[in-house]
Amino acid sequence: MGLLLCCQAVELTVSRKSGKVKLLNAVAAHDVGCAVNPEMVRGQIYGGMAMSAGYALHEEVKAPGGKMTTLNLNTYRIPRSMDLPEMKVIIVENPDPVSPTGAKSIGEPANEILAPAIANAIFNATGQRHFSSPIKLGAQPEPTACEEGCK
Amino acid sequence: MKLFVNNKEIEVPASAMEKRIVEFLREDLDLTGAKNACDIGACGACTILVNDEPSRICIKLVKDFGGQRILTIEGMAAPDGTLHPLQQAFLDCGAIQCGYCTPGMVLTGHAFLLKNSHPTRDQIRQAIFKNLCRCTGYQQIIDAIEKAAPHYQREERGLQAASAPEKQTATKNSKATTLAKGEAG
Ligand code: FES
Ligand code: FES
Repeated sequence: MGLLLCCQAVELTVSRKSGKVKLLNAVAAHDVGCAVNPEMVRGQIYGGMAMSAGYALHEEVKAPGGKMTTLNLNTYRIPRSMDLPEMKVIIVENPDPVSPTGAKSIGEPANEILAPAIANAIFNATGQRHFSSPIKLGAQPEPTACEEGCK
Repeated sequence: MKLFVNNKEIEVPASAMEKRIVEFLREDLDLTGAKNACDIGACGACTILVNDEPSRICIKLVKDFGGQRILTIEGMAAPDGTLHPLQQAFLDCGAIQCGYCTPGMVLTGHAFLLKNSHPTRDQIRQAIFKNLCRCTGYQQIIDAIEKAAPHYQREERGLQAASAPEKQTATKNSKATTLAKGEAG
């Protein structure tokens, strides 16, 4: 079986006051083997990126005391059009030798990796590592003199 | 009471008055384009146009719509089945994955383009803000609405030319005024 390689990158800002994360830019490159229907492949990737952004930033099922309280779309917050940046997709075609058309999978790989990219970008911006999602950021500390000076 | 659905006049039986309109359209009129997804007015999958304005019908009753002009996704294509340019653009851009949000997205986009036929991408993003889509990441939906805009510009020009000599049908007239208003705003 051929290797399934992919890479996604994201650019974002974190508001110092509120800790709100704003996505500015996102790029995804996926080796899909053979893009049987390129527009649909792109759609799968855009959709995966959107889901992953949701996992990273606001999607959360709450079940206090084992009773689920997130029952509908008013409480389970999925990304809206304004939450997402313009996204770019790069399709790489490196055929899988054992697949009849050369195609590899794309549905799942696309929605796994933007969330870690967002976590890394948040680390880059704030110096804080987050290991669970959704990532909740509060107000950010004022920059220290060194941070300011080192810029 | 009468409803005007996709240019057809429909007599509503008294028994259906208290029904929710989404059920009336889907079950009694067999217009299943509008989807009942969240049932609480949060997602936009049930959007139809009422007098050219998007409306979420999962939380509304049939009796609220007396005498109103309703457009559902079934009324977008020409009678011979040719897709409306906006629907075609959705197809061409691959703006559909599972398709659950699509009727609401197309109609919201249609209402928006009737008001603003020269939109920027940010304006389109804002226009579909309230419609949720789980699958496409909105990118290609925005592409599609952008791609269909020239059709609305042509139609607008056509209507302006047609309204110069004063002979046109009532429906065209009302459309022309909506367009003119949209342009001014
Ligand atoms: S079904 Fe009406 S808004 Fe979700
Ligand atoms: S295409 Fe599936 S919800 Fe939009």
